Amino acid sequence: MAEEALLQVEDLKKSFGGVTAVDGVSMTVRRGEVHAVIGPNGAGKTTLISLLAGEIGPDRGRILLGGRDIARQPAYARARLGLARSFQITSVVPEMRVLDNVLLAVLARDGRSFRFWHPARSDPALVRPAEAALERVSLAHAAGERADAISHGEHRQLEIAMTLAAEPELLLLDEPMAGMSAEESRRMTGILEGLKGEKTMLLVEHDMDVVFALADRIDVLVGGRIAASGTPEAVRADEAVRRAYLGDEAV
Amino acid sequence: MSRRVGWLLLALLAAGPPLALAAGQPFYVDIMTRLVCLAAAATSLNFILGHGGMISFGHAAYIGIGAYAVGIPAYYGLHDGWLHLLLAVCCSALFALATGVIALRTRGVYFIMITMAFAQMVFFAIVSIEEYGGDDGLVIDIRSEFPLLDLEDGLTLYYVCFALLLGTLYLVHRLMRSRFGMVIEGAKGNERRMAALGFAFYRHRLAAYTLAGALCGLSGAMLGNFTNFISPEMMDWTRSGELIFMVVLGGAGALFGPLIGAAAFLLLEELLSGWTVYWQLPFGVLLILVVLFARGGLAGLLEGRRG
Ligand SMILES: Nc1ncnc2c1ncn2[C@@H]1O[C@H](COP(=O)(O)OP(=O)(O)O)[C@@H](O)[C@H]1O
Ligand SMILES: [Mg+2]
Repeated sequence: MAEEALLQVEDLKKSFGGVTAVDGVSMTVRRGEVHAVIGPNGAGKTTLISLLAGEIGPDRGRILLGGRDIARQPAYARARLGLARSFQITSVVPEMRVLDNVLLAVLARDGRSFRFWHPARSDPALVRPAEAALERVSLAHAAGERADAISHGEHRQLEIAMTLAAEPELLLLDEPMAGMSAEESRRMTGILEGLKGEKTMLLVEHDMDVVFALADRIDVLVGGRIAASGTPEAVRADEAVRRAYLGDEAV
Repeated sequence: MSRRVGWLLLALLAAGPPLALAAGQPFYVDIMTRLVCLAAAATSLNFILGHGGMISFGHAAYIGIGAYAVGIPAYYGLHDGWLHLLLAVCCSALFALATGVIALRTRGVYFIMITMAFAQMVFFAIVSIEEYGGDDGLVIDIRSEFPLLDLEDGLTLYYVCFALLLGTLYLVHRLMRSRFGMVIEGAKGNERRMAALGFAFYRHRLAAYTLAGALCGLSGAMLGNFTNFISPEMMDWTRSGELIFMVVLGGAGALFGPLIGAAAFLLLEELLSGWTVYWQLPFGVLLILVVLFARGGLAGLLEGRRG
């Protein structure tokens, strides 16, 4: 395949005390694809996302975004270079309105935040994209609610809306369906399907149906290492993966 | 509801002093002048503490710096009001900038301690300068001189202080609705998410911290003019504590919270100190009750919000 590599990870490692959460991971995410990372609990998936987003620093390894090594950059600088992550455990500004939360994401993208006088909440340059992002995840009805007053499923939608509103090159989605009902999960799958082809996504997900429905490529992470990697069909057929991870459920 | 109480207080403060004078009670003008200055100082603190989550325990330092920016030039016979205000703003802003660069790298209790420590440094610096009275303070025999305004007239002084309060309130109101204010508010609510979105909010915080210091410096300059006597005691750490008390009592993060808090503070001080010399004790108990049962302070209670 000749598609351009957007993100290249080389030999990434991170230990917490005695636990090596990510142990020499290398992977390539190509522009435009949905690249899934699956693996059992504690495999190091969230740690990998945090390393990529810059919340924690790696012990070793390189992270190339569009060919440029960003492994030593702080989180905010990486966000400006086009990385946006969502959180497995919802992380929003609870005291602010739903729309304000998305507005902040638009403002981060816009970059002109040292403006002291004009009201931000009536600035169409901020409000319109924020409303569009809420529409996109079917959350427009809750725009005026406080972010701590909406349901769990709506929180998950807000997570995605904020990530989208930042208009990133690469979305890092950490279990977007975590804790969702079947119905909510179906709706979220629809939202992600709508983004496929338009955005490059690194998707960490537990729900195998979702992963096999969306992913172009899959990496299987076990104990901090890539145990298998390839197309959904190849991964599904991989004997080692079935034994190590998928178990009976996938057979 | 807290807005309405805030506006009501402002209306009272706008109309009160001439009425007090007409009734032959100039004492009330003094109380209101002090209230207005402290409310302006508390409003500037609320900008960083209530809206920005930066719990500065050294805000009285700026009151002191502002007051000495009037007192020291006056000591040398320089009475130009614009010079005093310029000095108050610049020195306060510089001090806030220099200390904020360091303090804002810390969080939680460390931030509280370090801001208090910086304020105590100013306190001891002034105490040690014999020339300006050291411990004993400094008398300001002539108030700041402005064209057209005579601050020696109590009513004129009052309305200048009142204008400062209005200006501070309006400024904080505008700031908090601006893009800058949204970043300040967002960083208070969730630092991790703000960093993930791409905000280097340390800079926003530093700017806010500096601005709040400069604003409070102005309050200090007016307070110095009002009391005619300034001393290091104005920036004692207990004074910083009182400003926090006003903000928390009134309602941190509510625009009129500090005004309501300052009014309640002066009222309680007046009532309780007449009742017992240990008036600070019931004060402390009250603050604990407010923190436990009315998280939004008095403003929150007025909105019907509970802890
Ligand atoms: N901040 C941390 N401190 C210590 N250990 C951690 C930390 N974060 C993750 N770990 C450990 O690293 C391993 C991988 O965790 P995580 O990345 O959350 O896995 P996953 O998201 O795949 O469930 C686990 O053993 C976890 O206990
Ligand atoms: Mg995880």
